[in-house]
Amino acid sequence: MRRALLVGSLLLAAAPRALADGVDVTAQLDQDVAGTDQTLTLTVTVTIHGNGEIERLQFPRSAHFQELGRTESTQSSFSMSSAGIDVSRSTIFRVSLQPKDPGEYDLPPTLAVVNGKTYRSGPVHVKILPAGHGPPQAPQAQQSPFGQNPFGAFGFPNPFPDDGQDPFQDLFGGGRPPNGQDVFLAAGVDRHTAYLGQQVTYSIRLYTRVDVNEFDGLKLPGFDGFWGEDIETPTHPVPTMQTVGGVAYQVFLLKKKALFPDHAGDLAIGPAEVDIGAGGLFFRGHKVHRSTGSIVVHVLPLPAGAPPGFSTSNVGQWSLSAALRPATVPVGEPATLTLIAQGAGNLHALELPKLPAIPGLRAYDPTSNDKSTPSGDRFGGTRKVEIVLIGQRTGDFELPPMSFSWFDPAAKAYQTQETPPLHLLVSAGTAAGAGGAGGAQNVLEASFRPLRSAPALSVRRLPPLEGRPLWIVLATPPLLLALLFSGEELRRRRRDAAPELRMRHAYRVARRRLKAAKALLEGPTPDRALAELTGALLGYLEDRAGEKVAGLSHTELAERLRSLGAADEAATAAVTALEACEAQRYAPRAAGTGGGKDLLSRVEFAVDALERSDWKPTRRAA
Amino acid sequence: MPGLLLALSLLASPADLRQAEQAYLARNFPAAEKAYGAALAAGNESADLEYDMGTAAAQAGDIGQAVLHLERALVLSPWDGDARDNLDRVRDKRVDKVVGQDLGESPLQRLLRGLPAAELSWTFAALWILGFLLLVLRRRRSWFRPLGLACAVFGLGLGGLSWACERADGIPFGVVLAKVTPVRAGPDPKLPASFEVHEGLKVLLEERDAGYQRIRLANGLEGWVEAGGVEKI
Repeated sequence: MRRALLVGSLLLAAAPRALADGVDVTAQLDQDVAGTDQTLTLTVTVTIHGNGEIERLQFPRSAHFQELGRTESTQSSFSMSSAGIDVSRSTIFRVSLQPKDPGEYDLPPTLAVVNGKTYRSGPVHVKILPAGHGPPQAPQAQQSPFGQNPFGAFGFPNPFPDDGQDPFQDLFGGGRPPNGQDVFLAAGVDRHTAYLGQQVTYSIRLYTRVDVNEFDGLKLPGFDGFWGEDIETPTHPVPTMQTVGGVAYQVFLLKKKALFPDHAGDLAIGPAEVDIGAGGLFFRGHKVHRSTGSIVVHVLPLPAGAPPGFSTSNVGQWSLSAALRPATVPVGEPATLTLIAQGAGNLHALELPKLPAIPGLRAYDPTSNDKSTPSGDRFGGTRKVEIVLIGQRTGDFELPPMSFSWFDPAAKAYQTQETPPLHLLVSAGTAAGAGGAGGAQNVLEASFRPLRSAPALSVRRLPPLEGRPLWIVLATPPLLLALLFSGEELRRRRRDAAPELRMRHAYRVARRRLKAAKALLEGPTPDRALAELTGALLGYLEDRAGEKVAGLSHTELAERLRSLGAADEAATAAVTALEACEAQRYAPRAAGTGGGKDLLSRVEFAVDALERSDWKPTRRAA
Repeated sequence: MPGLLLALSLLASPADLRQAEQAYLARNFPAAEKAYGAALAAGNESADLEYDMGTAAAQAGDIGQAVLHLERALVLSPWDGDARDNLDRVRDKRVDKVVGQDLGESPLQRLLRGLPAAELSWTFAALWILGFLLLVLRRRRSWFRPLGLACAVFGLGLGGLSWACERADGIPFGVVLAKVTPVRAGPDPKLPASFEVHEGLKVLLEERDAGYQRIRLANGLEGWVEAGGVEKI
């Protein structure tokens, strides 16, 4: 934000006293003797009787004095006398001068040019002594900008009433401005010790004794630990005059805030900064940067003994009122409960009492409206809370008293106020949706579903089938089915391949059985060899033929063997051997055979002969 | 610790639940919420208990706890109309109004979360085994084979549905319990807050790091909050 401060530049002139054509010019010092460590104030008054303007003014120039600053004020007077009407206007200039060297000096006259004519004052004589040898100066009431109430003349209370404490004491070092600075920024608080939630007024002012063309980029500190509210931010700052350390300054208020500490302890407020465009004698066309120092506020906790329901944000001076409008409503129609809190303090953090639940009355969420109305430097205002109440049944409902407590820092005590009990009469009226006038009514409004009576403490939940068991269940049935199918296939294949295998291995099996029969013949049970010999021959025939041959007659057997490719000799030998076996079995005495060894030879011969035959492949074997 | 466990177990007795109910009926909702909370802290778990806890918290104005426990009641009993109704009422009181559908509230997700995933998984197992048993014995009866195939296929379908339900139930949703908590761009308190969320907001829980939990809102906003400010449903 850029603001321009137009401060009129003044031209210098001089003269102690002169009277010419209705213009008086006087000049005088506030003291005739001073030390080099003291300041002098030269007061120049130009009084113009009638019309006229000061066209040029020249203050006395002297190499032995340094001008520190000047102020200007104007007074008008109107008088009637026998000589006629006298209208005069006096312009008063106060110039602060700093002596440089000891000695006695005559300040030249002050020159004023009015309506083309030059007027001058008389010279001023002054004696300057070395530093420390000057006469004691009367205490200057406005050495510190807050040494007394600067607003008293305007009817405003002193914003810094904290036991007359000078907030700039630290900054100015006993009332003197920062060395060599013609423009500086100062920040201060009205109190360095406050209770939690108590207002601390923070102000930033610009002090200048040169022309200030503009300032911008005012950077405020963060105010950590405080809740801040703006009290004043002048859009067109109006200067006031202050003398600091004997030097007159124009003072511009830049910002004023109400700070409410939100926790106890030492809270620091950092520096504020601003860029200033300064002109005039010392800062022609320069921009300077100025900042304030840090401020520490000691925040005390609220004292013990807070009433029940007290909120620590309720600090200040407050009052609470309650009203219910209307006091009588039909069922289902609204009435409004209004709570109004008024006073000074942190309005936006204020916590008002809550309306307890009243069976039969439905209370909607409250609406809140804050209106801040700072009074002087005190922040505060009005909070208005409205609660809409709807009677759900007929009856006389009492709204119980609501207790509101706050801490008053001025009285250093807790205060409590109770609202009076209020009554809302809900009648059976003509509420919208009602069945008609007369008779009790009961508005049934949807609300939360009721509780479950005697709920189960725990319910056993079926665990889901997951993880490894799931994969086992998923994979096992298909695998088992696949194994089953594989087994069946294997068995089928083996079954289909059996005749050929038997044919291929017929001779080997027969030879093995014949060997066994031979062993039996030579052993203790030679009678068992006959069965083995018969089995070996029949087995060989069946394996070779690929079919049963036990039911065939010997003729049919011989024919069948020939048809399968057996040689005639081999077929005959087989039948002969088989007949010999049967004869040996059924009529051993009449058989006429040579015994077991002969039978063995016949069977071996038959098998060997059959094996040499060129067998045709059978249908099943193929 | 044993004393604490003993105390908690005593708090969880049916008599204490009756006291909680009495407190609720006397409109002392904070006391009721505290008693139901103690019963749950003792390790009890039931949809009714979660429902009562959520309802008491809702009446006490504790929106975060209300949403959390009513959501848990719906996890345990997905078709609980009372819990659904109360949850809708609590959601209306939330500060955060997220543009778009609430998390986990699409028709498909609600259907999947409403199906009994555990029962479906066991039914799948039974049908799957029965189907293959009938295929093994297909030679005994002519209709064993088609019936076995039908059982296996139907069981497989139920298994897929159960898997989908488990996936839907396994999505890690959470509820913001802090009254208000800043959501930062990373798990570092020095990072600036992108936005803030308030109690009762349902969020999707993602990874966790250095005491911070990454969350995602229904409208896609993401960020990190202090882990203590949210709780898994």
